Amino acid sequence: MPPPTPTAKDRRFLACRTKRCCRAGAVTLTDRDLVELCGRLGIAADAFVRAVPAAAPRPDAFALDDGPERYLLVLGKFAPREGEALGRCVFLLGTEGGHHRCGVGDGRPLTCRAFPSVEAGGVVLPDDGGLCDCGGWSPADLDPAEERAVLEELGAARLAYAARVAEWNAGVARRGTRASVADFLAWLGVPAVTPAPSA
Amino acid sequence: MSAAIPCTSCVIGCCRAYWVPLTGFDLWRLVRAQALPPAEVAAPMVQEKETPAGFLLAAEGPLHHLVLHKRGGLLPGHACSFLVEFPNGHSRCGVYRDRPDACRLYPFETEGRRMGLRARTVCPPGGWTAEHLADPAWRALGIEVDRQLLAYYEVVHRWNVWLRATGPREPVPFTLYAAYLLEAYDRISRAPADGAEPLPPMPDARALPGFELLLTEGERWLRHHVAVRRAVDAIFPLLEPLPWIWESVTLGSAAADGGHIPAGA
Repeated sequence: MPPPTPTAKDRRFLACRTKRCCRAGAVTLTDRDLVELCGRLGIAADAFVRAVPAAAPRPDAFALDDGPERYLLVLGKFAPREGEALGRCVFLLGTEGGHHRCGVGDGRPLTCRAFPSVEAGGVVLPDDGGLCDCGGWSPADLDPAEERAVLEELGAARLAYAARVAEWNAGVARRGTRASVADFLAWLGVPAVTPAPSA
Repeated sequence: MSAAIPCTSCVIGCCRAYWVPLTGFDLWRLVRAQALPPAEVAAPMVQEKETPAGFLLAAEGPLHHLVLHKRGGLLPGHACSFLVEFPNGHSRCGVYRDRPDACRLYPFETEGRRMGLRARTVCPPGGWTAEHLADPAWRALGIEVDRQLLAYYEVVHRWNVWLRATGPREPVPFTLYAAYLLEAYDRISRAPADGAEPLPPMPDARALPGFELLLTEGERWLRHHVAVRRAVDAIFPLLEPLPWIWESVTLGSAAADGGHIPAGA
């Protein structure tokens, strides 16, 4: 089967060697991302997810007890290697020649698939938020209809996730006992812990 | 594929234990889908035992396998360049959609054009069984892999004939061979699947014992192979193609191209 024809956005993304966005950015995840990634990879979330404290209140920040601390689920990163300022995403592959590619390709989280598109006043435009060092995106790199569809998907997934987080947080406050991140993932229906290797 | 795949919790490391031989189709698929330079995907490795997939880089030089790169060089035990390794010790293929045919088929092979479990694998005992092989999806995959392998023999053959005829004593760069492969498979991919060209008559299946997989494909295989011949004819118009497989005695022993090569055995 021949490879699918890359879009202009794919080509622009593939042309970037460094993938600074896969190092500098924190990719927040929804339950939909987690279910899809675990299903596609046949692996539990502990391989690639970590929980980080939320700096400010937000609808996707979940509690583990009845205190004020809230947490976000983000894609894991490796610690920076010697000579590197930033750690890389657990899915980022580097070739011998210095090119970098996403190791989950089409299965990457919605936040990554939508990047760097934003919608402002009904117009889709690129805004990399200062994450890129590869020359800047142009609107010509983006297909507005495709980008709008991904942004809508992302918005809907975030809304649905926020509703689930609110339900979880209310339950945690009601019970008054401490839960773990694995408890939260299991409640979301996400495999939390990878079984012990078979060898 | 109905039976459970035993690979998901395995960390033994088939992605480290082998050199993975590629066909031109494998290289083309990876390079085009990942937009990577061919030399970052694959490298030439001298063949210890010559096969029809072996390509020359000099007129009188050795034949080479086309093998998938490993991280840090083609050394035994090194991980495949495309292996995503997680902090918890598990790993996954980072180019799964575009992975080479040998990886798709592993731990099976099409030795002698018949499907079977490889004699020696690094898989846990009992992980893969005959139950998996009974799944029609594996058989269909075996047919596709065989089709691409036989097509690659034709592509390699023309290159080798051309290189011997032009006679460079010093090796040509690997990138030249890779560029030839990309052009050939670009052309093959553009060929119509239902071309109206006349096809040569295929012999009766009973005349080709051991080629059951190929003959299952019948006309579809033949059409694809005619397209492959046309594509390489356009690049090297004056060179003779390989004989049709039923006219050849050399291809029946091509099993060495059917799967992963143990690294540093």
